[in-house]
Amino acid sequence: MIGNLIAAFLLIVISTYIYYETSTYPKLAMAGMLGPEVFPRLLALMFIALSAILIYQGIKDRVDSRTIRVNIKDKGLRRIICVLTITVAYMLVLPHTGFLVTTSIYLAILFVILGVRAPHALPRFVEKIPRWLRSLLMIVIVSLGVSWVIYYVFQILLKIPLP
Amino acid sequence: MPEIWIKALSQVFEPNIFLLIVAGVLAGMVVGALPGLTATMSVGILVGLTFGLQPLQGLSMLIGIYCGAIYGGSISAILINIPGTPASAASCADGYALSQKGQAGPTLGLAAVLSFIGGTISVLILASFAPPIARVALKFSPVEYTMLALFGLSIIAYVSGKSLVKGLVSGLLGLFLKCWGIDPIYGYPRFTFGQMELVGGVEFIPVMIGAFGLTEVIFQLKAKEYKIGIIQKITNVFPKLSVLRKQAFNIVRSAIIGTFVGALPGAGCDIAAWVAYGEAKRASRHSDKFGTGMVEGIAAPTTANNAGTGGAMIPMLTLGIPGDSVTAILIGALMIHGLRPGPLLFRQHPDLVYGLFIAMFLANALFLIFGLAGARIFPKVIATPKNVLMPIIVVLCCVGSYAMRNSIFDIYVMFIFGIIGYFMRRADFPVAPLVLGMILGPIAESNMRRALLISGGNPWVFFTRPISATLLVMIIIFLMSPYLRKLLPARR
Repeated sequence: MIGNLIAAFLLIVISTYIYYETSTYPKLAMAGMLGPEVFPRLLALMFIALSAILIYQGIKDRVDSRTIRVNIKDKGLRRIICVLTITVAYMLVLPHTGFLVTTSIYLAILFVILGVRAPHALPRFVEKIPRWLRSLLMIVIVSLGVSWVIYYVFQILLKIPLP
Repeated sequence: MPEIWIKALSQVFEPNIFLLIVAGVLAGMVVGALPGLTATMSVGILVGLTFGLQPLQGLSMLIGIYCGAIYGGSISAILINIPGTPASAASCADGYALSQKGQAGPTLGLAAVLSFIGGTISVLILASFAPPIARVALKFSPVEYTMLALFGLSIIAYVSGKSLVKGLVSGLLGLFLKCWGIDPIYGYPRFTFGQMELVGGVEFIPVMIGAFGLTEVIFQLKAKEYKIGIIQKITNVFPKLSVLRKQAFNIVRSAIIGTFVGALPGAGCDIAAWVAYGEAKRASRHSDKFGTGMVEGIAAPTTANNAGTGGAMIPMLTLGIPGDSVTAILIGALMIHGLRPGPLLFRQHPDLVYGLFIAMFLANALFLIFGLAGARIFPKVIATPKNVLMPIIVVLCCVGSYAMRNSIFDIYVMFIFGIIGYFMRRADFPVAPLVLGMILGPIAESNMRRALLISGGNPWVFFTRPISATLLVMIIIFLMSPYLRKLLPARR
């Protein structure tokens, strides 16, 4: 399993860093007491031991290792990258533009990307509106409604500040 | 002490708390019934709601969500063969087969009644065993606490994944994360990478929301939209008394198994349900028919998974060691209010502890009522499309991580651990030990250093004190068990 080897490599990097950083700590401990460096170093030792086991297992199971193929055309993967990128943008903009506006826009964009459609069984007078307009209306209403409900419950009802 | 019960009763039945439990149970049932939203995730993203409440109010609501969600998971297992939460995975086979036979209504009703019975038995066990355990634990010194934390961690690593080594790596990473920030004895800042925000350390709540909330969203985005077939009309939800009488032994056995397994650190309702299912299958005369719609096969897991809720609360309340990932969040929620679960909680805030017992019983009774009365609405709830839910959950993840200490930094922490959680799960590293390790880390480190401080740096105290030595032997047995099993002659 390639995952094992990557994980083992990362663990060794972490342990090395732990040793490097803890060696810069001042000697605070008096005789017979443990300083701040001891516990992280114990963990580092255990990480090294475990990564050895991971490497051993990784090499032993190599026969049935499956190659992880990253397919850019994979719809699921594209969706994930898309949603995560927009979420990063949301997190960066959030402190500057306020919760209600940003969240409504964020939700609406994601609904469009994920292809939210209006449901079929609706009252007759709504059925006359073309489907794309119905879906659009629903997206706008749901994204505004959800943001407002979250805002109301947190900020007004429970007095918990939002970004 | 009856007066403490009366005091606790009057507290819980205050209209505020009662309504919060009702809201929690309803929210939990809905979220639990929706496939892809687990109990841990729902408690995690809604924990933010409780920051502004009193400890008993907030915790009662979270317990309501917990019990409601574990029950709610059985609904989608029965109706569409997809477990709503991992805890109801064992209910799928026979539950769905029964509903395919036209028994959807009675099976749903049976699930509600049995979840209630399982939950209630576990609350009774919790209320009668937790106080004496806490009294014993009061005598524990830092030596015992160190070992207890390590013991908890090794069981967690053992039960939560396919590979013990990977579970241990994940758990130790959790311990390491909690080393970041101010060191607990000397106050020296560690692993801050020059960042002001990291001096206070990485908080548990955002990591947990990321690893359970955002990670799950990423997985759901990758998966295809599930198809829901036509769900039959739900009728006759009240189960027959004769069925209950026939299953009585199975029910009581499953409830006791569920509570006991739930009480093991790290083993939650999901494992409780599987163990009870296995036992019922072993004890049944028709074990070959399991999976084809046996009543025993749905009775055992639905009873046991709700029994796991009370079990998981035992180590959490008495020792401060999480019984599963939901109780880990409950510990986090208590700590926000400056309360540390453990034996001292029973001495200092007995009204809170007993109030929680009653709140838990109430939560069980409430989902029974809602479950029987609202059975017809369930199919509509389950049909909520995923592409509407997922963006809303991401927003709630952000809100929940921000709300704890009004910090944008915590939202970034949540996001980063969401992605780390995704890759960990892809490589078969379980996420639960990481989160539980963050709870156990400070207990292990500060108690270990305190123990050595008291003993004057002599590490033999860990081996010579009887309880500590017993725990140490058990840890070694646990860690060696995969290898020991190979040495034993194979059975049959």
